[in-house]
Amino acid sequence: MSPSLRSRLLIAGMYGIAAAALLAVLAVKTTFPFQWEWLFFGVAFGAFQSLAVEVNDRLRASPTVMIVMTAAVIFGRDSAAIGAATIVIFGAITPIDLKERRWFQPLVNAGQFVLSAALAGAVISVALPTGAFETSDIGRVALGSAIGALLYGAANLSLVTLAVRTVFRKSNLKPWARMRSLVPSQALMGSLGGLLGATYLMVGPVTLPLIFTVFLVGHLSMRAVSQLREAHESTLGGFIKALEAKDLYTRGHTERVAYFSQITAEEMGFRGDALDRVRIAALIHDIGKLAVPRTLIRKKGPLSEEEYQHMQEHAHLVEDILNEVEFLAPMVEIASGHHSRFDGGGYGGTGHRSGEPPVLESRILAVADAFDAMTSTRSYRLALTQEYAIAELRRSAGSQFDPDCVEAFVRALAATGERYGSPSLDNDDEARRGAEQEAHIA
Amino acid sequence: MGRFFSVLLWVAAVAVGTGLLVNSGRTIVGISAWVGTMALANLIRVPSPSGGRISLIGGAGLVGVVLLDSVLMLAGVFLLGLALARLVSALWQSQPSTDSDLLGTVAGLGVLILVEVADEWITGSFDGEPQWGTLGLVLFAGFAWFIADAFVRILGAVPVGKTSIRYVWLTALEDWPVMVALFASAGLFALAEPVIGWWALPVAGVPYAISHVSFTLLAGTRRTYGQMIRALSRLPEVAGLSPDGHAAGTALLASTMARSMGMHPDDVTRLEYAALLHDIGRITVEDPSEEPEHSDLARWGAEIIRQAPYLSVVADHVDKHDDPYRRPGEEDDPSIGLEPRIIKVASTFDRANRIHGMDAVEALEVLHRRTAYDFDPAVVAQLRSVLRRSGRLSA
Repeated sequence: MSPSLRSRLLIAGMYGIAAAALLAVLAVKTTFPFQWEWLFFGVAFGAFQSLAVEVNDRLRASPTVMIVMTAAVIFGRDSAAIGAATIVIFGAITPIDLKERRWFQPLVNAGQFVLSAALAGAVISVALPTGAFETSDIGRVALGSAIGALLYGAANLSLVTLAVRTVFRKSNLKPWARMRSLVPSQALMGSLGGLLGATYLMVGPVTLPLIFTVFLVGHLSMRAVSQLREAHESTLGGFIKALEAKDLYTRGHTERVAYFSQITAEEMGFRGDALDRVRIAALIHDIGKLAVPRTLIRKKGPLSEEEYQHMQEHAHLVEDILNEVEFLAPMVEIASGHHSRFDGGGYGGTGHRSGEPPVLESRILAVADAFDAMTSTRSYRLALTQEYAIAELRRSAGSQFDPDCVEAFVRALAATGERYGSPSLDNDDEARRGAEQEAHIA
Repeated sequence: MGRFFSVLLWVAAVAVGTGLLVNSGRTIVGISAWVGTMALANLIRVPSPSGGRISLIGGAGLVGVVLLDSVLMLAGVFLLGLALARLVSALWQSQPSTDSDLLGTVAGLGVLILVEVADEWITGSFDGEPQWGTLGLVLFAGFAWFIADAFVRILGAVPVGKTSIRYVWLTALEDWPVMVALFASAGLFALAEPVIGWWALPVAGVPYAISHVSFTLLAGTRRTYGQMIRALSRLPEVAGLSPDGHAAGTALLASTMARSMGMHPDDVTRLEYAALLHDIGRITVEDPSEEPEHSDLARWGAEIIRQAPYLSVVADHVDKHDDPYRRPGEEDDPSIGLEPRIIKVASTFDRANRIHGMDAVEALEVLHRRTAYDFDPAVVAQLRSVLRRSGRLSA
């Protein structure tokens, strides 16, 4: 049995047994909610779970926690925990799991959902009144639902992290940094769920179609936002990839620089929109070249003064055009600033601030760009080793590069365990001679 | 003159509104709260999928239908609320509502009055369980307001005559998600308030606010996506590979033609993107002094665009935009859709006009002469009528 399969069986077994044991205890000690609402909320949970939307790592729109809370309140004090813990099973299997015949994900999902929802349901049952529901109970239930939702989120995240760490051996996960940013939305959705449950109990089932309609519409619209945001990036990335494909030497460069920038920025604490900005800035960092005649870009040997001016003018024109796109404007500045040196010298684009270092995002991008340039083969030089590139970055730290960004990049790269560049070529002169010889042979 | 009538209209609205409320039996504070709510709802606007901005007054009006005692009171607070909103926007110099906005809102008031009358009838007919009847009314009111609003938009667009009625109708229908979220939230508030009091505000308000935020985000994201396509479309122009303004000129002409033909708004947007990007393949040209085959350019352009999965339909349009609309011996080539035909006509007309300096008649003649294979005569005729309406071609 392979170690991967063993760890999968271990996690799935642990979660499955814990969930089954908990359900058995709840079945004996509490009352199962035999009512049509159980089926309704189960189906709703499953549907919204498969429609979950992640706009970025900060903005995640999924009303599933609200559904759990609403259902728990409606089931009442005696059935909240077991009711909540059982409706979530509807969300454990996704259509992809069925299509790809996966057993591990659905089992782990079912286990962690049941455990988290039972916890949230238990909190709700404490907040619910013993007798009939009164208006004076609403505040307490809303507060209880907020706490329940936070515990649901925390338990969910911990169990998923444990599973991913054990099975996929990813040690660089930082779930708690993520949880902090999710707290406000989780608490809001939770208390709203409690309020909706209370409304249902007091006003009647007539409110149910309205509640779900508003949520469905809002959620579908958020889904459209998320798809369109993805489209922004895939359109920019796609265009650049297609154009790079024409040029053997820069193929994949932009994607790699975007990746290196992202892991460095994450290491330095960037999250959400700030992280997206760095990645997209990296995608467009070379876009100016698209409008420069190819003969100039591919020219071997140094450019004449006139040619250099010509190239800069084109790059500036492209910067001006992209600056008109609202969401790209800040990224154009970052992309443009990556040519500047940490000590304030260098090229004078939009993002250049003479005598001052460029913005932090540009400094990250500069490190990522230089690392990829050294570890990939160019028309004038063969690829060098990763060790050579890192030593070179460290040598220029403080003058050309920001030392903090260099170290953050080195740490982030080490955590991924990936390797780039030549396995052995660690001499710049040799690499340049090699490229000349290759050009000669060609 | 217009200003005088406008002031007169508003004074009349205030007079009628006040008159309706004189004998309502409600306190000044109660009436002010309702008027303030109506005004606030009219001032808050949510960006809608069709590109407009929809005020929330329909929702507030619906709450009034359910919670207010009479039709007269509803009409009174509605009119005073509108007048107050108009006054506030005039004082703050914010965008004043247009006449068609006002017409739409008044048409909406008419719908709500009808619903209020129906409410009195239906509530009486549902024994014991009036709430399901109220839910039915909420759904009906939302639907009726939506349709009334669409009709008013058509009335506003017909005299201008630049777009087809079908296009205006389809555009108005695009706004259904906003209408549904607004009226469902308002209905929820109206049903819950009598039972749970002010708790109804977060119960209905927070879900609506979440929808409002997502509509705003969606409109913003759509706008910036359009800006990005426009920016990318200028790359060949900046590189000196295509005449300045050609992409935008082609897109404007193509989308105007499509709108006047009554194409679906989503298809118009895709056509506009395709027209903007139809020359993007030129960026791959190695030597700017050599003019490559047009069909190669179309294929290279489509290859680039296809890298973005969101734009696969746009890529298909670009791919085919240089193909002849019919093959020898056949009447038509059904594999060439309407969009590529429009792009081909619009682009050639714009080039003739922009590069070769031809006037509209000459450029149109170029197209007419090549209607045997290259240009679909029906599309050329459409271009002619668009040019006539815009005054570029004398009748």
